[in-house]
Amino acid sequence: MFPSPPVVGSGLTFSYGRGPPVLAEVGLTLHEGEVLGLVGANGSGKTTLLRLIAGRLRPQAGTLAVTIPDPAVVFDRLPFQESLTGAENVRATLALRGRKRAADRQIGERSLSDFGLAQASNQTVSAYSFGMRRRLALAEALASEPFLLLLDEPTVGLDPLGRDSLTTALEQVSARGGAVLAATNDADFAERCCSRVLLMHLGKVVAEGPPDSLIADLEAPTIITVEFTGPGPMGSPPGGLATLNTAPASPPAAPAPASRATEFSSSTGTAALADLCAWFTAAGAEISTVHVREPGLADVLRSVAGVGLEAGHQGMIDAHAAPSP
Amino acid sequence: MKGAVWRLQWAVALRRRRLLWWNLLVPALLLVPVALSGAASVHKTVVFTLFVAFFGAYGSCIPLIRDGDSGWSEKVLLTGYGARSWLIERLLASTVLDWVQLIPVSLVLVWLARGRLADAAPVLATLAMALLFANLLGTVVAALVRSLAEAALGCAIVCLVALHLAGVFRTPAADTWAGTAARISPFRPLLEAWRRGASAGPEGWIPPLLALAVAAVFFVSAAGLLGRRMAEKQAV
Repeated sequence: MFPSPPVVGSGLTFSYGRGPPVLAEVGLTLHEGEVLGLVGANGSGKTTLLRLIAGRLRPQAGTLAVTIPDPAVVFDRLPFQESLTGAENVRATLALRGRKRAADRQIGERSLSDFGLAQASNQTVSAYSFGMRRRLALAEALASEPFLLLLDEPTVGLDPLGRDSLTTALEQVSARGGAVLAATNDADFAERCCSRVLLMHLGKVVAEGPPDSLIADLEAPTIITVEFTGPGPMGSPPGGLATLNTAPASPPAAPAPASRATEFSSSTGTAALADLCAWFTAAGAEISTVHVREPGLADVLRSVAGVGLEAGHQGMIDAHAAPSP
Repeated sequence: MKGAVWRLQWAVALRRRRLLWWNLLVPALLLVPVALSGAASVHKTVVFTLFVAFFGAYGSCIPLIRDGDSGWSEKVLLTGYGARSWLIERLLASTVLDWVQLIPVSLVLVWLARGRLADAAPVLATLAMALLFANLLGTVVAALVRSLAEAALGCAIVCLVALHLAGVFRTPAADTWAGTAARISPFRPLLEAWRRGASAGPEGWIPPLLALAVAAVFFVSAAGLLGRRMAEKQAV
């Protein structure tokens, strides 16, 4: 085994050329068996931090210790030998890592199968779609059974099945004591797969912890949107709820009957949902849709980036307000 | 040296059959008409040598730039494969591939000039050395430039200067620095072999040991330096 923890960095600073610092005194520790997410907006320094850890860049200040040599890496670019098949590409990568035994080949084939590429493994990569290339890149990286896996935006281009495969693969790496560092914009993925998250903003780590804990710390309300027709209820909503917004679901110039969407914030989650529905029904309204949106890591990200929660919710309101075709 | 890059280069080259055929056909289409023309043999051999230099230099430079742009080179280096091993294996594979692809046309040129293939051995031997040197020049250019356009220009300039220093375009006096440069240039033996093999020149051939030594020293030192430089270049 390797000395633990696999990655320890402190005070990491980096800038490209003479530009402003992309990373400013970033510290992180990646433990064995951990799936750590680097979550942040575009340009927050996630990829640069990943490249420092992969050894492709050198920090201009700070210390970085990576105790596991030659981590498996999947960067945003997905280079392959286009004229070779998927299976040949995996075998080539394994050979570059010095693994040429028959058992290694079998692991490569299994990895392709795990990512749903068993049938396509004998096609040349030039015929692969973007999503298949992403799967192949992940299969290649995982075929070497790495103890340190660095991923940059691993879910881009993946369909739900591919995401499931990725989740399973990361669980397997974690279960055998490996460590995973994934830079991602995908808050859902981070919530689902990462045991801990570093939130980055403008080159700094601004928050750190398990996703649930970060979300709880935000103390953001649950947003409940009710779409209805007929007369809407008047007055204040039932306890624990506050009306955020009411928007007509059809343009004002359109003839009645117009369905409307009203949005409520709830400090008690979905506890008051039944009361809310009863309140609408009592007023003679016919509810067509109820949409519940719990606060998530994306809200934490918006909060960190200084964007009000309203920005995130407004899109949902607008979507509900759009006229039916 | 683990040999994985060498094997991979061959696997890819053999899979890309269309390119393989082009690399066999194009030299023949360009050089055989020159050989059949009524040009003086001294001019023909300049064209042959020039072609070999460009073939080797572009053949190593452009794939390196392309693999750098696509991220493939970085991917190889991220597996922990040593930068020096990577470059040496690439260079050797590329040189041998170029050599194999130029053997047919070289034999045709020798046969057209002399009506027999007995004089082909010196041509083929010096061809390998010249191609190794040309591949190295292409790698030097790839390490210095940032785009394919710069690479094209860089290869042309570097090759023409190297050929000029080899005395391909004029014969320098033996006791001058230019004469010394020409004598140790790895391109020079090929030119002289062409003159013997692809023309009705004098018989006999002395192995160009000095130029061979220069090529070997240049290869080993350049591969080390360039490997590091290329690895750094892939990082940014």
